[in-house]
Amino acid sequence: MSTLNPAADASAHAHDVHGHHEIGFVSKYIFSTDHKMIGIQFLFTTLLMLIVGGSLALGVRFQLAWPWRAMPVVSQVAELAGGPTFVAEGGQISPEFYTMLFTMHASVMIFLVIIPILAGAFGNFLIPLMIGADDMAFPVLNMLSYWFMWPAIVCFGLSFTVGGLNAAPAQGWTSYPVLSAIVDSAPGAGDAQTWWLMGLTFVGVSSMMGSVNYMTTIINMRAPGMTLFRMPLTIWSMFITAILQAFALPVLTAAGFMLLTERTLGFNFFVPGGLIVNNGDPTVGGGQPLLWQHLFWFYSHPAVYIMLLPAMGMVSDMLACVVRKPIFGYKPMVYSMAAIAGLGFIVWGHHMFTSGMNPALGMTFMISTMMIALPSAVKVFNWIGTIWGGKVTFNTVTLNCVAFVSMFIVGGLSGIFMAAVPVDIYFHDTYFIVAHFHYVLFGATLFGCFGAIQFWFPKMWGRMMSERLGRLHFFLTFIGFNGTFFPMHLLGIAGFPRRYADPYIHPYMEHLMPMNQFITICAVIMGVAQFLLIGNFVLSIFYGKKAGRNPWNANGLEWTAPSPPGHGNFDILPVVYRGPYEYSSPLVDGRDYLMQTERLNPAAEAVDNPADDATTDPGSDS
Amino acid sequence: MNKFWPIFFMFWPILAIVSFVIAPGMDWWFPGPAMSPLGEQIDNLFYLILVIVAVTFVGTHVALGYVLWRGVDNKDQKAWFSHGSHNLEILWSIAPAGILMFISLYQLDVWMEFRVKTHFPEGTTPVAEVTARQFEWRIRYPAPGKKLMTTPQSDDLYTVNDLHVPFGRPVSIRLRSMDVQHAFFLPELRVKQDAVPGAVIPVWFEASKPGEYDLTCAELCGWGHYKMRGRVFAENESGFEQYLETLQAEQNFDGVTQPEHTGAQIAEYGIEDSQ
Amino acid sequence: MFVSSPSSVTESNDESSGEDGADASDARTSELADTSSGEGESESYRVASYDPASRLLSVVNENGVPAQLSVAKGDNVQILGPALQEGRNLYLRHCMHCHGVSGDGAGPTAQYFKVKPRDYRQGVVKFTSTKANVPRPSRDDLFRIVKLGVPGTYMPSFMLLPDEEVHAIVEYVRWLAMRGEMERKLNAWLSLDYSKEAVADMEEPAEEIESAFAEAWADEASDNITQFSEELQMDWQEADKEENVVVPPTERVPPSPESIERGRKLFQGNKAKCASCHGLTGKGNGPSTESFNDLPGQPGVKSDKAGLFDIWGNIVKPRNLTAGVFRGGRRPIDIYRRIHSGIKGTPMQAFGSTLNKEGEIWDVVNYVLSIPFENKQGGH
Repeated sequence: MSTLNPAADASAHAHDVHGHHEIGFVSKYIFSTDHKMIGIQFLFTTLLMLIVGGSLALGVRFQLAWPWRAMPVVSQVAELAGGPTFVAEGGQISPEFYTMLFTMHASVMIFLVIIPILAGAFGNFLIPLMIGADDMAFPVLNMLSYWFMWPAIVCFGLSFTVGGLNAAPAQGWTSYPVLSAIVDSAPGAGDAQTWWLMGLTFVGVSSMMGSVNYMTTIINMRAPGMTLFRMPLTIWSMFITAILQAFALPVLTAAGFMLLTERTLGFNFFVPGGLIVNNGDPTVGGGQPLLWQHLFWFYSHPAVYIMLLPAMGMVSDMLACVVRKPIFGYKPMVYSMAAIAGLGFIVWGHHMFTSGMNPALGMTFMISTMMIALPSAVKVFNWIGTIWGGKVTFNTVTLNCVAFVSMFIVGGLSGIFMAAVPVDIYFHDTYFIVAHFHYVLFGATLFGCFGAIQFWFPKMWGRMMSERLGRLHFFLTFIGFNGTFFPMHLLGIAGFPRRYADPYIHPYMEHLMPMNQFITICAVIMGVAQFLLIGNFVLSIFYGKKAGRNPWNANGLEWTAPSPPGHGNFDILPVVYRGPYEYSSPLVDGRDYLMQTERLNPAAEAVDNPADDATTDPGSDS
Repeated sequence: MNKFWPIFFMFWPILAIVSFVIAPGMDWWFPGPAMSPLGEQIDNLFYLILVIVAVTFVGTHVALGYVLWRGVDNKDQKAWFSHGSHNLEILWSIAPAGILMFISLYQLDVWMEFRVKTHFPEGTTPVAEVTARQFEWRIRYPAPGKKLMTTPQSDDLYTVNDLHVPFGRPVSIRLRSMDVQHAFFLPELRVKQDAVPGAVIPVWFEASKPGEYDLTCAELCGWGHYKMRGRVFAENESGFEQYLETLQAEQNFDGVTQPEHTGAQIAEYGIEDSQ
Repeated sequence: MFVSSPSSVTESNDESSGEDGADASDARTSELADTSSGEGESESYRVASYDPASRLLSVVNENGVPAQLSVAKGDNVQILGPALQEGRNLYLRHCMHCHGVSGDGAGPTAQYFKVKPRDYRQGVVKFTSTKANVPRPSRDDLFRIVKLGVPGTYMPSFMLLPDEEVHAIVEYVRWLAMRGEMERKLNAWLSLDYSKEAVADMEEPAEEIESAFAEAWADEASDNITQFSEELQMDWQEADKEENVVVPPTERVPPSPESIERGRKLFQGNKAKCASCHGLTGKGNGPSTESFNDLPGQPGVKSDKAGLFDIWGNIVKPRNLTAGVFRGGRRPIDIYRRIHSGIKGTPMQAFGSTLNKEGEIWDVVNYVLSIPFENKQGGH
């Protein structure tokens, strides 16, 4: 009955427990509406983009370490291409190419790696499995959310190439007008910037479809017995992220449209009159450049939490599992995530302390920013509390999770310097900021993702990833990461500004070149190490050790499904009797896990189990 | 061997602490001590936060190391079955809240002094208008003995990238941008303010000692962002006046009456005078 | 090798490890690596003379005593000017992105500019202190431009580069300009008989053309190269001579309202016709900006775009004098020199002979300097 289009009617799958569908290649692997396939598509895409973004970063690093020296590889490629494309004359890169490198590094990493890997890849894969649904609420919307990524990738790619290979957007990922609004203001402010803005819009559309879907799915499609406070923290984090996304994103999209109309239709929002840019005619109009900054950060600050919360949730789940202990303070964890999300909406001004906005705002934003450190601190203490008294085995998942906690502590603490307005006067736009957000976005989020890939890989492919390669990858990444980003704190204290192609023309920074060379070497180590991850990932799909349904002895619903789960996910619709963190429960003997679906003693549990009211016939309802 | 990873995770915080301890000696630290009273206050706030943060960093990492160390050692059949502690949650919510609140309230004065016009130090006089453009700092002084007007006057004096100010008293500049956003950053004086197109922003600072201070741009302003090298040259009052007079003489040079100055001579003028 | 010869024979100018060094067997070249280049055991000599025909290079030591050096095959011979290597390094770091490696004003960044960077290869620089009949800039002029920048263009000020570095850059820029001029002169000479079109029209087989060319080259190259380098040397030395600097015969006329009024009349009147380009109110919108003019270098060929051309082929707008931005400097003497000898390479001609009455140029200077403030003074 549901063989024609199995995705069209999600509820139909519950009947089709064994998943015997005749699905064509295209609808199975390409235009799939199965949340698992979409999640895996997102994962592949983001890993691919991770390589792109990482290569761009290495270009940035090379210039900072050996300014104006011919860039290895890039120069050769340019020579093969038969002309001065990426390299300028004399074997050097040009300064505007440097600005393009860091702009696209940030854009790719933020919009095409971190946001989609968390919400797109793991959100898609995990949400239905963890709440006991057979798919997302809107499978087609889900498919579209993936396929709207590709126009974004194409737009970003085009923005790299329109107007010759030398004109990628070069305004920084923040795209502050006037630089981004006036076509003549900089190389790359022309068509490239327009394409970039369109790419941004597509990313926004993709995210928005995802978040609507996640919210609906989480609210409506939980398995019987899965009350809100029995949801794993991953689901909580995805839920809160989806809300954040849904409320913040329209602002960015609107701002992007405003900028687009300003650039293409002659509207006037951001450019004040009387400016002489690129020695052209004076501008006319009465726009206000700070308006963009407010609108941009109103989205982009919550976006930082969009890029962090899901990783927090996943780490909480993984950590509890690898230390065989219930999460410490489940409800405080949930509340603190909610607090981060709520406060996240009123702290955007801390990006603008030196921007010349009303100083009174500086004070309010400082206080709210300081306060957002509080829930983060609570979470850290709870993670440490979770490990406390646990039985720790150091596998790759543990390593990455502990690294997450450790790196997040650094990233959070360095944030306090910048939250303090007077100190931020000095640190604004120096490498201290660069160090800070890489500790949060790479140190925390990406280590969390590396752990999550290792942890949920068996559920994706039915095979384990190599533990040995995983640890080696972790070891090299960790060393390379800290070698790269920790010294950047010191660079920042030395007043080393961001986005300088050749800082050494300023005498007070001349002596920092050796440190930058050290950083670059570490960055190369870190970059090379990522091929271990890719290799491990690809090889393990085919040659990994076979995994059963529950290789980690974990409690969550996803581990009751086959590995990999068939269409419709569960053989029998799960019914939930408890929270997901009942590790080492004294209620069971001989094992230290107690799955959410296990029914121990109906009489004893009846009191607090609304699931008992639900039907026990799994096939009849969803 | 099973202790390798706990040690590994403790090793890097030690390295981090060590690198911060040796950093000032290795010249990986501030570009010299703060050269302005406000900068000293900012540095003090920085050190205050640094101490708090260092204690927290050490504390959390010691705790992390301890629980990991005990965790691999755990010989019990099962881990400790605990869902948390209400009292602990309260404790570790209130304690950081107090500290964070203290930090933020403690900073307000310095911020007000730096940014809120009514809190500017008394006697702060505007000495020049600094107009940032891609990729230089264009500077306009009033003629000697005159006040800086908001619009250009016919006897104004112009120079580029080289801002002379008297030291030992607070002075302010009118900061403008001719094209895109820039930021006026004096690392040694710990001053930073964005130059926003379409706005004139007063920025005050006080150099406590005569000397040369770097002036850089700290907001991405295009491909030549890094090229915006300028300096603030602090000298005594008479040196400053003399500088303005020289500038005036240079600017009114008609090829006949006075010896010709090149820009270079102007840039170097008055160094002996002020030290 | 010939590209190195133009500047002068007392300071040699090629920083590249010339091809001559590679086949040292046929040329009795001497090792000329300069000690300042930082190479281990190199010694420094001065070029005494160079004969391009025999490719014979003779050197003298620091004291001017002729020196003899034997070089083995495969030795690396570098001919350096002391400042040039340093200048080249600095140029590649600070200038190359816009002005290009060869000084053609077409570096990678230049393509985004509305006001194009200078192409030095014609040896012409707009803002000079030299007289109208001296087409080259003096070292001081170049120094001033690098130090102060050109307001109203993308040329930033390099005020804080140490003087020595700016001097080194100036030397290198002069060298690039000479090299470019030399190439253009050679090109022009060879194009007389061997331009692309001429070769295409020839009926002889390719080998014959080649041998004829080789013969012509052997016969005339040496003389021509010598002649070109002498011309270049003269031109550039001329620019540095004190007597070629424009110095007003009188002091500036005080900028009284009367003087300004006289200047205004000259500006708007028929004698100097300033207004034909700069417009009656100095906005740079005079009638000639809307006429169709000849393309630069092609007399009689009208452009299909309205506007005035400079010799580099760009459409230039007459300066909008109301903005108060003066590219060549805002000192009275700067404006005086602009009027007196014009802006080289642009339609701004020299008015030194037109405005020849005492004080006339000063009146115009006073008027020009007053234009930005006109409205405030209740003027026009």
